[in-house]
Amino acid sequence: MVDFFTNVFFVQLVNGLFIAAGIYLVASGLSLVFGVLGILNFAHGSFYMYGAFFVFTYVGFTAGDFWPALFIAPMVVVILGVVMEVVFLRPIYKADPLYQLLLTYAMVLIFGDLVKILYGAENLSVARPEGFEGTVTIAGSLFPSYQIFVLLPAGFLTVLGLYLFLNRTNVGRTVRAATQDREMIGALGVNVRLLYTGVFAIGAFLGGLGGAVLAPMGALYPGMDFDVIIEVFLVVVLGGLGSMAGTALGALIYGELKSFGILWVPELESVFIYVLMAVVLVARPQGLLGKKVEGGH
Amino acid sequence: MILEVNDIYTSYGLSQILFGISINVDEGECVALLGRNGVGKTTTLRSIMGLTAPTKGSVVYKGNDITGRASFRVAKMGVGFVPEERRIFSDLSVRENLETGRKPAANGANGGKEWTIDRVHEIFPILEGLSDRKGGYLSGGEQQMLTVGRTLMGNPDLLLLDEPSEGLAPLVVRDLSNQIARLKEEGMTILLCEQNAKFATGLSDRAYILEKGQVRFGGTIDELQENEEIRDQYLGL
Amino acid sequence: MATSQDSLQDTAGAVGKGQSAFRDPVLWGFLVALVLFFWTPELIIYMEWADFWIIFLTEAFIWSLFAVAFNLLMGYGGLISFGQAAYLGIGGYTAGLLLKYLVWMNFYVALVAAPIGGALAALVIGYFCIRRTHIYFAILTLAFGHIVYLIAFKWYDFTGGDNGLIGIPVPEWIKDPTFVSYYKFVLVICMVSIYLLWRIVNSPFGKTLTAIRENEVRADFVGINVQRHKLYAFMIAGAFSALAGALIMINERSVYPDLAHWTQSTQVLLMSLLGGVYTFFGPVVGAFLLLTMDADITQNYPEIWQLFLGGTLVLILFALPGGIVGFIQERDENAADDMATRMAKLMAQFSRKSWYFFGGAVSFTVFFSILQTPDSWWISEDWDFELLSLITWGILPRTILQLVVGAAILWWLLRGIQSFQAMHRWLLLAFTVLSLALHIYLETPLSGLLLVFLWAVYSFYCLFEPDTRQAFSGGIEVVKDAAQEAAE
Repeated sequence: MVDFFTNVFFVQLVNGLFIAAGIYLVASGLSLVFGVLGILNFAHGSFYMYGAFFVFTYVGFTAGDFWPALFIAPMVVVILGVVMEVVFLRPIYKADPLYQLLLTYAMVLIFGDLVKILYGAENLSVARPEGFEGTVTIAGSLFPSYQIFVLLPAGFLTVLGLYLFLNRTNVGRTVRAATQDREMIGALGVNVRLLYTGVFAIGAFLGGLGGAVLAPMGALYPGMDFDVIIEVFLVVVLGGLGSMAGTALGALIYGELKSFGILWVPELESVFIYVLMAVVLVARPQGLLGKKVEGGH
Repeated sequence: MILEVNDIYTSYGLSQILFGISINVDEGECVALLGRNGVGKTTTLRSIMGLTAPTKGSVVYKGNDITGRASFRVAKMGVGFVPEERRIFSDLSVRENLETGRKPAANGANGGKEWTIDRVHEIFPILEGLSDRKGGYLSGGEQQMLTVGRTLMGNPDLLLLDEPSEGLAPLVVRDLSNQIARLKEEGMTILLCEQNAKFATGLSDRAYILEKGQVRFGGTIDELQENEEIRDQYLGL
Repeated sequence: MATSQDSLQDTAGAVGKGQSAFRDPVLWGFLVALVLFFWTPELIIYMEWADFWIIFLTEAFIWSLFAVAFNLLMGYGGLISFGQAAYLGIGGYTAGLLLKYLVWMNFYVALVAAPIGGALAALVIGYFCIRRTHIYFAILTLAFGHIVYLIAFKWYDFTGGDNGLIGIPVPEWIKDPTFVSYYKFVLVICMVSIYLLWRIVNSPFGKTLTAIRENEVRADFVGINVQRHKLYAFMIAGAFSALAGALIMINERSVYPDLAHWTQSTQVLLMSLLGGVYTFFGPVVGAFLLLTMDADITQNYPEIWQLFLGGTLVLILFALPGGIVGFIQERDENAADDMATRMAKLMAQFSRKSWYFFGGAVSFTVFFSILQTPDSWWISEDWDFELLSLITWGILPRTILQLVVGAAILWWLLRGIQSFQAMHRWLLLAFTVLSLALHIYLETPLSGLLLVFLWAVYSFYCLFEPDTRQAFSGGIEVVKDAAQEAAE
């Protein structure tokens, strides 16, 4: 009996990690962009959706060649993101932040219908790559091998990669400086426009990567953009907007809570995360690892 | 002449701040911009730096018209800006703050004498022991020195200093004054905004006095010392 | 010279005083509109499309109420809620569940319960949301809005899940097959509610709310309890939104989770922005315009509706930040100007805006013609071609004709207006009314008609207000002289 419970516990714990890794892949890009540009990009969910759909297209064209799609699909998303940033966001950086928010919201609507026009309204699916269709046994429990060998490493590598990029490279240091004082970084000789476009491109890449990695794990449908963006918002509000460590922590909490919540109240598992978010908001309005904000955003 | 500001008008949104400011700075000089709070000193520096573009008039730096150019281009041409209220990157360590400011000198100037972290430490020895501390945990004086050091790392030919003595203890102000004097000795051209006229006149060769967005006086420090009327009226000395 | 100018200003002042003699002109406006719309069904009941119009107006008034309530937050409080549909849903489900499960429940009690439920929900949700401003507020309202949707969608035992609640009992008179009784019921409730909201935004509470929007720190500094005011605003908006939700539920006698879906929140956001967030009646105009566009587009191309909304939103943000009512009301004025300069500026601006309206109307009608009759480029597909009958022409020749003839006439009229020819403003008004008639004849989609109608209203508003009337009639010589003098 005891063995049964520890087993269930272990399975849910690992399942929680899967959820966390998936949501972190998407949320990290949103948080990074918010930290530097001060823009909350509603359309980040669209990047995720396009990443997934582009994988579908690539796999369809190449008759099952999955791995290159993990890079190519996010790169196409980067093109979308850069066009969006240069054409629509640049002219309104100085406007009220709410206008920027509304603009990215407009992009959600546009991107959303474009997907319907391009791919139709039915659910699509991407097959798991060869060799990762089955399951693996870990400590006596079965887990899908794609999640173990692709999703978890992808999530972990993204955490590590972002950490190294931000803390060990010159550009990363500039990016961190820009999250604190954008005007000052310009006065020190950094081309802020270029930096913005670059960061937005990285954010779009991460969003697209999240969609690409998650594509074989579930159905692709128009509307998945909106479903994911709400989860991402929950995660970043929980962890602290703009804080990369906070996003990772938020994703972990979100994943585990959801995973264990399903055990108890399968129908309303998402309610837990809202309750937690409400509690955090009262106790620590800036999020778990967020910095105190003075007025501003 | 390294910097020439010709009759600039600048406004923030609907409120007009500058009404035709004209000043100039020669190579190797230290020039003070004096005046009370809110007369347009900071706005003048921001206009030069391209942070707030003037609506009329021109800013000429080393013979190039830089009016309204993006601030990073102005910085790359060799103008270093040390902002009011210090504005260090509080989550970055002192070393990282300095590294963020690093950029090569404009067209190989500075006589091959590049600014390095070591050289900044020479001027501001106190920063050396704080290298790994987060910028946010420094005292006001340390932060001010870090801000100046960070700008120096960009190898500027002209330094715009905005209210460096603001909010610092008298003893710290004296240190800072010595350090700025040393920079000047090394040949740095400085445009210094100050409310603290005593601090500024001790360092400068010439001074301008601003009032309500206009230049009310321009001349050498000696001339200013002799002109009691001006000093009483605008500086309240 | 100076004296005659003074006398001009005096007369203008007298007109202003005369107006203020009516206690509250807005109340009169409401009453007149109420009477007019109340008897509208009797006027159109024999028309072929009467049912359609009555249903359309019913929906439009409900959505107007929803949009005005939403705009209390957005326009007056500076708080953009991305989850306002939650209260629509809460209102619909509160009244719906009461009527469905409690057999003895009185219809009117249930209707009153809806706004109370909305206010209570807003109290709880608002307690968390109003702690943060701007972007955080947007995220939080979105998230909490989504959870309301999820509960309605997933809690099968209580809400019926995605099957919704159907067959909700309502009084017999609502089931009137001509839809007229319910229309009148909705009309009265919405008019009264909107008037109440008007009183609220013009009360000290409304002024305080605006002060908070302008500068929260300062408001806090002068001793205003910022959080409490925001929470009250959130509750008021929630209550009226819930009332709108209950009215929608009664209209359909059923309620589905879709009522609380985020797309509904988008619609109401767009209505406010399109009409103008910084005006009280903007959202009403926006609601009517968006619903007509919805009818025109979803009829043929439901799949591009969101795309169209997104495009509209981008267009508003870049070109029309004040919305349509804001665009109409915005005046190029400077307190230092004398009467003549003021008038000259006003007319120059009027001309510019008229061209915008003209361009807007033409591109609008072309856009919708292409949507509705995609293949009628040169000649109409639906009619046999007849040279003298414009309706049989294709889209291209019709547009070219519109552009050439319309622009020529408009140019001539505006030139006359800028030199204060009294006749020309009547002609211009006639021109806009005739265009409206022409568009009705051409079977232009509803939204195009509404745009031309707004143009006519704007022309009247601008050319026949007391000041301009003065300038065009008696005062014109004075104005001319003053302008001449200014030129010298």
